[in-house]
Amino acid sequence: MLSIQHFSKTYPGGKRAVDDLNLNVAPGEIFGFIGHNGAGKTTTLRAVAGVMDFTEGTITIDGHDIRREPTAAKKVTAFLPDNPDLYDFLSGIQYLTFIADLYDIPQKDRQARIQKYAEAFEITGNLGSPIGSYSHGMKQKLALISALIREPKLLILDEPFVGLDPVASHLLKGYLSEICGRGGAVFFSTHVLEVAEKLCHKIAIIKGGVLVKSGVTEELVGDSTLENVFLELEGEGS
Amino acid sequence: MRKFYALVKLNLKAMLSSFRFGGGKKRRRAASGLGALIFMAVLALYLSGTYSFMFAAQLAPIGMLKLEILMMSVLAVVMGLVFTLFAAQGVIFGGRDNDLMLAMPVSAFSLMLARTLALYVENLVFTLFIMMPAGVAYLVFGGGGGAVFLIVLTLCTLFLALVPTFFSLIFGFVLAWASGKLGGRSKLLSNLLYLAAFAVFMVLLMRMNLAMGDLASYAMGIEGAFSGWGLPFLLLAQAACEGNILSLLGFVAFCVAPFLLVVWLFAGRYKKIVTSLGARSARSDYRLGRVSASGARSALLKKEAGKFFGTPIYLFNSGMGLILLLGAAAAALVFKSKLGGLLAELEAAGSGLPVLPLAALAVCFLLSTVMITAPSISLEGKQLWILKEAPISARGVFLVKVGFQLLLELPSLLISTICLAFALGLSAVDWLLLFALGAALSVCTALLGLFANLCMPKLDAPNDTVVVKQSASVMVAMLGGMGLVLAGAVLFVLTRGLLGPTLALLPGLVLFLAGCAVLWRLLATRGEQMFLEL
Repeated sequence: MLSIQHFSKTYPGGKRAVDDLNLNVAPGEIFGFIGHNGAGKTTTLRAVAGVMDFTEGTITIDGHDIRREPTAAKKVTAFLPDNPDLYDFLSGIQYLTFIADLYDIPQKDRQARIQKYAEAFEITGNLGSPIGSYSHGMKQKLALISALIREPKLLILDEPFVGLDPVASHLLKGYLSEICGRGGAVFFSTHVLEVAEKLCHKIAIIKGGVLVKSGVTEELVGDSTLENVFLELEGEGS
Repeated sequence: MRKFYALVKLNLKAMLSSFRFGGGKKRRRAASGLGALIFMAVLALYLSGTYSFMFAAQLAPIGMLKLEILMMSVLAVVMGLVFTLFAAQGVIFGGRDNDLMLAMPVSAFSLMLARTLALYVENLVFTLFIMMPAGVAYLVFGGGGGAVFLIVLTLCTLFLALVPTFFSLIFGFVLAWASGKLGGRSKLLSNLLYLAAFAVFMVLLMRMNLAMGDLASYAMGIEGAFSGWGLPFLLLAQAACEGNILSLLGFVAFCVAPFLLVVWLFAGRYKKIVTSLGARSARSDYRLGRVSASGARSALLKKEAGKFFGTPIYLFNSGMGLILLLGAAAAALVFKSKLGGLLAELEAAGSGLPVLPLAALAVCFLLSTVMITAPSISLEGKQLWILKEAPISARGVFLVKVGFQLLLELPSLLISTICLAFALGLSAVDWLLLFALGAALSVCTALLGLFANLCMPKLDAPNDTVVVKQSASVMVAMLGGMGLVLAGAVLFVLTRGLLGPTLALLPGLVLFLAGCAVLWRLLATRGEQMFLEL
């Protein structure tokens, strides 16, 4: 579903944020991307989502090169940044309709999907109000709904559990499994190692822009915990 | 005091950064911010120099040179208001950093005063650069006082800048209050307030132009009129020109007292005001009905329209040219007989005034002030990720942004040129040429604005006002548009003898079309890459 080959990104100031990254996310997989602050997680996710330009390496989503066929690749993708800024001047329902229009979601489907997710996240009653009046958590829920109604083949999430209440977090985990159940894939970054350990089929750990470990969660963790593995890797060379 | 100084520094930096040309090295960017401010000051200097010497030349022979200082001080306040009246809402009350700032260990009074000072500095730049040439013209045309006059005038100017700051503060508060309290209706009220303020400006400027036409006969009346609402200006003129200490003290009191009063009133309740302004009306009883559906481009167009019509500062700053165009065309139609009489008189006098080129110049000038695309990328701000993530190409985004400007401009142009054709008695061919010129220029300026914004994006502005009124791309697009009109006029003058007054408009049309082709090519190649790099 997602293939990242020899991806590198150097920022204008000269900082090499990611160096020769290779990753593959198969259909049906929830893939966790872990690393300390500034390790290169967000840079990678933004490049995968086609939000950020890059010159080294190739990224393909469902067979579409994100640089050569960005529209086709984005059509099957949904991306949620860590702090999603939405249009404050639109109401919640206007924003969801706007996204549904951009992704050509048929009228009947969008109605049913908006209803399903808005009711689950309990924000149906607020959909008529301007987004500017929403709390941070409500904005995050709205952004999540806007991603889920697309029924994406690849869902890319940057720290999706930050700011969500426990009920919404639980719901989200269920929806991630649902996407994988219908042949999609999820690629997300997180600092919540317990969640990653329980939820992800595979995990990759990045440090200073370089992939230091990647594999099936059970094999990677072994008899230890993900936290211990992560801390050991962080300790090496520091 | 150190905290207050830090706040003032921060606000002044924010103001300067809004003028900066994005990208490049730090020092170069900082210099470009200062450079843009200097450019605006030079523009004020030029305008003031022209008006001051024109006034002084007419008033000196009748011994009423003092009126020149008086009128220029009014112009300084009006100019200051033009630039800061609509900015105060965002700068003083609507900062996106309100929560951060109010959480700091500084008093709300200090915070508000620091923000007000940034506004005052902006006004001071305009008033200084308008009053200094006025002073020079006064001395050149024989006004007395010498160095003392200049010192008193400078001192008065420092206080004069408080006047537009005072009015901007009040206007900004009313707009901010309306935005916070009235929900959806606030947009309508804000738009009406902007329109009313603009109408007042226009009336003031028209009166000034009338007075300028025959200053000598109006002189006595003007001085008399200033003993009422314009007493502070009269006191300023008396203080500077006659060295009247009592007038100076009176003027300072007129400027300082209301300013301090309003600062004191707002500052004492600043936290409350900002908190209540931030609280948007929200409901939790929405029931999901039938959800509408349309295509991607239509959705993007609706979003552009929502932003444009829902942001008064954007609507009036970028779309004022269209309102004026329609207003002028309607006025021409209403006053058709008077206009016809005037044209007949001019023709009889053998002035050889070509009606079509003049109409084309007026239409093109007004169109060149329409800058809807110029701040449109910057206004996406931190929400730009939504467009970049969407399955729509950069070119598709450009088409929508340019298309939205044209969707407003072309129908307005069509209506206004038809009105003008009736009012001026233009033939069908003349009308077609007038419309074609306007349409080509509209496309060209829309593309230019978008390209300028891609070159000079401002995605981290503290508020929309800064983007719309002060960003570098808006200034470049406005000057570029006017430059195009000027180039077209030069081509007309150069080819008029050869082609005649009607056909000589064609080189201008070709220039605008060539501009469209070049700019679209730039957008389709470099523009797409620039968009990706944002």
